[in-house]
Amino acid sequence: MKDNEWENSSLMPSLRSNINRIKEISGGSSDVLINEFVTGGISCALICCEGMVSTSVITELIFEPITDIEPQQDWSALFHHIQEQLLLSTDRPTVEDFGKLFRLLHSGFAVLIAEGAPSALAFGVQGYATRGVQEPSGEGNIMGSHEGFAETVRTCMSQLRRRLKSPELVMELICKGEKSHTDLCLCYMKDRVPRELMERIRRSLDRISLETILTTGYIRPFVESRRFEIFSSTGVTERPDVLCSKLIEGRVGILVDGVPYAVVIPKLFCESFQTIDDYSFKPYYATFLRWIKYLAFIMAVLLPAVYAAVVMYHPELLNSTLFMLLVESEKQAPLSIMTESVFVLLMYEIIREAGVRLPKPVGGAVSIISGLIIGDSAVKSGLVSTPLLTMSALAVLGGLVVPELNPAVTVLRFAFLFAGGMLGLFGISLLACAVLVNVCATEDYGFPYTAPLSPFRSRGMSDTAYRAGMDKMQDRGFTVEEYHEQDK
Amino acid sequence: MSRINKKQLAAMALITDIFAVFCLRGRLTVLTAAAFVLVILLQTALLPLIERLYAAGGKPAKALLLLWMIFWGGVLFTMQWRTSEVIYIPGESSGGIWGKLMVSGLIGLVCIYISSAGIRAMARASVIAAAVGAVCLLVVTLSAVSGADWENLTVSTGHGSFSGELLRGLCISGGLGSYIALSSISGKKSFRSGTAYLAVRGAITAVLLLVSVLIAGGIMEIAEYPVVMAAQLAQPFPSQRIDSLFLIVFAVYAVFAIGVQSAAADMLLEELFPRFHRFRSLCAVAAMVGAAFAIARFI
Repeated sequence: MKDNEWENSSLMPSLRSNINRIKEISGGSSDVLINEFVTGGISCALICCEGMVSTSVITELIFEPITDIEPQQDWSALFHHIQEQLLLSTDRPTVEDFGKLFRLLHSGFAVLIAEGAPSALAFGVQGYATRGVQEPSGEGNIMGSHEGFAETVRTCMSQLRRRLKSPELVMELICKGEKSHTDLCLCYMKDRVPRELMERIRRSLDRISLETILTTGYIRPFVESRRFEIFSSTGVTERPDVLCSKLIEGRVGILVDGVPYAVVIPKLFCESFQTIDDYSFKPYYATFLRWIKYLAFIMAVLLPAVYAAVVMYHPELLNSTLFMLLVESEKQAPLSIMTESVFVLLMYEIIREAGVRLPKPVGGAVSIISGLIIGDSAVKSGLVSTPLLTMSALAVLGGLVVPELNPAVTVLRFAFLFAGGMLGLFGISLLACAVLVNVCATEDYGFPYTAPLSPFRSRGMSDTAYRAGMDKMQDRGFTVEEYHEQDK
Repeated sequence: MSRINKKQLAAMALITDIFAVFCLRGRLTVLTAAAFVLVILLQTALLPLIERLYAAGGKPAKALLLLWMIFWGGVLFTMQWRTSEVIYIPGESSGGIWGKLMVSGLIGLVCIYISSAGIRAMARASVIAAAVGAVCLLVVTLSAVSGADWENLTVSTGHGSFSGELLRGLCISGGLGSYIALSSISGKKSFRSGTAYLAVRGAITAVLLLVSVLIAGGIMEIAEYPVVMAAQLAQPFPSQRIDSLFLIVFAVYAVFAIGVQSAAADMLLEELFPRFHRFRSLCAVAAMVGAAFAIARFI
């Protein structure tokens, strides 16, 4: 028998045969609980997965009413009585095959099978342990909501619904992953998203034939362009309010069960610099913050490279005081500026990776060792010059201002450093041209990643170059469709 | 189908034209600026006719334009090769012929990459590159004001006649070819957009030439590349030099100028030989390098 052939096999009228089949399919797994009992004069079995159902709910709402049923003529009358008169659960699908039976069982349903019945009743009594709604770990803010997505897709759906109480918000559940049967939820405003875009996204998702889907990273390559792109043309957010704002703008969100992040399609480059706080502050301050972030991004990518290029090849750009200061510092360092920079940046990346992967108490110790001991001793021993360390630290800090772009920024920082260290500003310029074209070539479903800068849309500038007041933005009626270009 | 818009098309063509102005050799005068502007005015008048002829010409016209793209790409490569001699590029100056080959090779590689990314990506990037370049040029131009010698603004024919300057102006108008080639994918043709492109080109050319005359007019006899020389002499502060800023503009515009020719040639190759799918950009750049060798050998 093929691996998954049992999925399509129908339930049998014999209770014993069904129980044996379930045991056979589950391989006698300890978490599959089969409770046999007689109700209404008919032998039945209630099957559930340990830890997936709520014990109190199943006792109060299933066992107590179900065992009180007066004798029935046959299984059909019993099922009719349960369905029509007991209303044991709000979610009560009927099961005809073993595939569906196991999918529901593993999703926290209790399944009732009866002697003589070629079908079964399922009751939604989920009660598995999940992490509650908590503050987002990576998208912090000061004045907005402090609620992040939870791991359970249905909780995430409710978080969206609470914020968008509109029938236009559609949330479609689809199941993907041959082994994991992960629930994906496609969210969109049906009056804002063109039907064609939805169909194309659905077609992209249809291409998924993975065995498991454990993070958003499993599905993102299927909804992104297949060519090499430095920056990702889909975004992720762990904030329900951010996803709601994207949905209102005509974007599509994908929630993945078990992951507290949502994928947003399409994503624009300028959105990486927008935070929910921008809309809480006064426009002039929000505009100031926006430009600080642009500057931080440029610093994060280019500062070590420009430092190396200027000091090594173009010192005429510096005034004499600064030049002498740098010469004094660098002449004591035993390594070339480029080697020094690579060393410092690599050291930072190793420390960061160690800090992320280690348990939190040890992570603190890593910070102390790296910051105080290694950093201090590297400068004092003359291995690294102070100006270079300052530039590297500023670049790293700049990258943390725009966390969403940090992976790409990290790699670009090294690439530009090599280009600047070997060919000065000429090398940086050449690499910048290649990167610029790569970024401009990034697009998905006809939405250019660099919009509204190029192709230029003046209306889009009111939330890119500056942040217009809410009174002006409410008249804008913006949807991302404004940036759409015909496909090649 | 409109794949790029008029502003993007204008930016692509402008980068090509301005790069050619950077690489101008020989004496520049006010007369040169006037002649160049007159050539642009003539082109403005003739543009609708040229576009109509091209549209009616069919495949032979496209083939001719393809040859022109390859030739002009070769000219730009040659210009970059020669002009980089007077610009400090790390690795090139000390590396002799190998250094020069490395610099040109790197530019060629980036050109192949950017033209293979597609005309749309290049068009979007060209607008940003043109804007960044314009800001850098503005800084250089403003820096030049303090060092300007207004006595250099004299109408002297000096070493060349007006007709000679007109011919010189015509010779650096290769960007018009890419404008015509790419206008077929930029939506409906309009006289206004063509005029706007040529007007901006005329204004920038005039400003660049006049600033070069103002700054380097006194030493024009020894300035082989007057625009580069002017950029090197234009300094905003007494103890700081910003000629590296010009290096950035030069490198970016060199890449995009050649890249635009390559992308346009790629597009024409696709139209002329629909079955030719792979390595079109590579072939276009290779043909331009070949043309550059021929031009450097014979011109």
